[in-house]
Amino acid sequence: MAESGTLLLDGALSPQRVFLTEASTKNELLDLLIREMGLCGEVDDPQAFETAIFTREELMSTGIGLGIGVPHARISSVRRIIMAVAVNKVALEDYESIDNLPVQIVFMVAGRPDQQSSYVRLLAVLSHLVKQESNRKALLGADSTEQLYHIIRNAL
Amino acid sequence: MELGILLILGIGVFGGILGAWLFQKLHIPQVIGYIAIGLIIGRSGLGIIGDVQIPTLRPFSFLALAFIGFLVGGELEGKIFKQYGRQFMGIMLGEGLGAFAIVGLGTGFILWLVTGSLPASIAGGLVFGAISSATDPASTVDVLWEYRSKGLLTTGLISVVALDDALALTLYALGTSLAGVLVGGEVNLMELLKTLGIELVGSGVLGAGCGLGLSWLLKHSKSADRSLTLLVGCLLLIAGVSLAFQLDVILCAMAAGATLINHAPHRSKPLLETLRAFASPIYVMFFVMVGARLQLAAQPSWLWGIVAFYVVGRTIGKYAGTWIGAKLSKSPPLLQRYLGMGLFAQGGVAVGLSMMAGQHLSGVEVIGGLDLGSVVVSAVTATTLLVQLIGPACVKWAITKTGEIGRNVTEEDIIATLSVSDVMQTELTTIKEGELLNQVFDKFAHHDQLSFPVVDQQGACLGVISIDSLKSLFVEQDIWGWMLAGDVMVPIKDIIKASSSLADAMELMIQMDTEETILRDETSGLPIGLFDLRSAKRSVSKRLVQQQGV
Repeated sequence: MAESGTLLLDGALSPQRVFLTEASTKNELLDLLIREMGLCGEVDDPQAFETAIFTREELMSTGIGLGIGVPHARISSVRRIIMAVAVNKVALEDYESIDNLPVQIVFMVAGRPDQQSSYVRLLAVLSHLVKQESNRKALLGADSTEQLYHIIRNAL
Repeated sequence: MELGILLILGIGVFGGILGAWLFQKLHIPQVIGYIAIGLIIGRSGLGIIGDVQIPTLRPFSFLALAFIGFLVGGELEGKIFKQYGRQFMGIMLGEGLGAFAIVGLGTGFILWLVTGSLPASIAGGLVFGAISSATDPASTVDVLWEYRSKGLLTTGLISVVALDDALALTLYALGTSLAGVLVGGEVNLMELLKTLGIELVGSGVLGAGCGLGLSWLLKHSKSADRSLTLLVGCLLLIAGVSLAFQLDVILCAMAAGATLINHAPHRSKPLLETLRAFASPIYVMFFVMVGARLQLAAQPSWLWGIVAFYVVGRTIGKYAGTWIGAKLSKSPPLLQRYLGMGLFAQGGVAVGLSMMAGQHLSGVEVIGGLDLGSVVVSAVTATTLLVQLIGPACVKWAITKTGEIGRNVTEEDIIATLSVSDVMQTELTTIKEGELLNQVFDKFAHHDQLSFPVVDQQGACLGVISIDSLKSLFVEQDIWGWMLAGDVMVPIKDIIKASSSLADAMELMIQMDTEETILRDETSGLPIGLFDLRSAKRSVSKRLVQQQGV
């Protein structure tokens, strides 16, 4: 049975992987999140993870609209589903979203190839979360990473 | 150097298998190959199995008869008899009495021409006629099993060969007693009838009792191994008790097999299959022994006349008798036309009866110091060789003409002959890794395919999306517009290959709890087929129906 959204998010997110960033390009922001994900001890091969994230972006941008980006990849060197969140100071014009709007909120997700069901469920939960304008406004208005973390947790 | 009994058994079984293989190459039933090897290594050939070894190996032949009898009995299901019992009985009486009449009259006439003695000629004719009515169930059924025959003719053949031993024993008892009276011996008709009654009824009762006991034991048996051991033990007891009380081993075992199959059909069918496989080397040795026992010594020319007439007359009698019996009992035309062709084999019962006649009639001199008993033994030995070479081939001809060859197959038999490439779907629609989930759902909606290979730009297969894996995405329509096929595909495990045997592949799929998998080329990575468990099972069922001719 699929895990509930709250449980999935609880397992994947930790306060140490929530950031307020000041990147000026999409690649700069993705590199930063990849590096931070690589430091948490759940990614055995950060290089492979970086390749997987950028290969996925080459297929199609993960800018899903409404100023949201969800870069994601499943590779075998990831131990379990994890995610990182960044709210950038400025909206990134070069993200190439499907609605052509600049991206300011980014959720990076990593999982194992055999975790298809939970992985898809988590991405759907995130998509549902940011569809509500109040949630997006709250995220963009956060002053600290602690506040950002609590907004995400309480939104579910 | 004298060969030990185990070495002789080894030579017999291996030689028999070699003979069977050679004869099968010539499209001749394997049983003839076994007998031919027996002839080569037996009394008439190299003498490896000679006068010393044959009595030692006799208990082995009785055990083989018990196995054969039990398996033949296991084919006699009551429902068949309810439907065709009258017809089979009519045919059995027709073929048995037909052979008895023609062989009896003809051989009696030849004996009268040679000896001029009417009583001795009638006595000889009666005994020859009675012996000629028996049909060998072992070699007949062996051909049916070898060619996996199934159908009305097959059922008819098994039923008739199973039943006509009893007729042969009755005719023999009556014939020998009359012969004894005619030639002035001390044979008492009432005594013989009593002995016959005890033999037939005793065999039936002992067999039925063993069948019921076995059914009870099998009900409490926890494993297939234990069940087989119980069955083999029971057959050893049947053979031993039958011999100790002078009952008929094959009839007794047949009664046990028939009782078991009708009392506990579900429990006994798999066991009979196991026994058939287990008994294979025992059969081989049995038929090699049949060949080895035959002795083709120099005989007077008139005896060859008896042999020739016996074979021709018996063949005509069996065929014509079957036709008449089938007509009178209103049997289907298929049985009228072909069943007689399957009843020419002559084996253990005939040889056994000739041995008994050899003792009963040893005091009746025919001509030039030759006694009637020896004439019967020599002639029946020679005719057995001839009809054992002709009989199985005729059985094969009959089941070929009626299209019953190869119909007795199971799904397991079909599966064993196939590999994954035989049943996999090769015309595949692929999904590119960069296609959106919207497009993926669209493909599933428009193609009759349960799984799609997900490929990269070069067409190499990266993973698979199955209808099952899509189920979790039905409710997540929010993501259909931005998730790609590559995001949701399941990686391929490559455990099953196109060249894998279907049996292994199906077992693996069940172990992995997977319904379908995509197969890809080992070097190029291109998808080459979809192996879907449900389609594979459908394909097997289709082939089974085609092969069974349903």
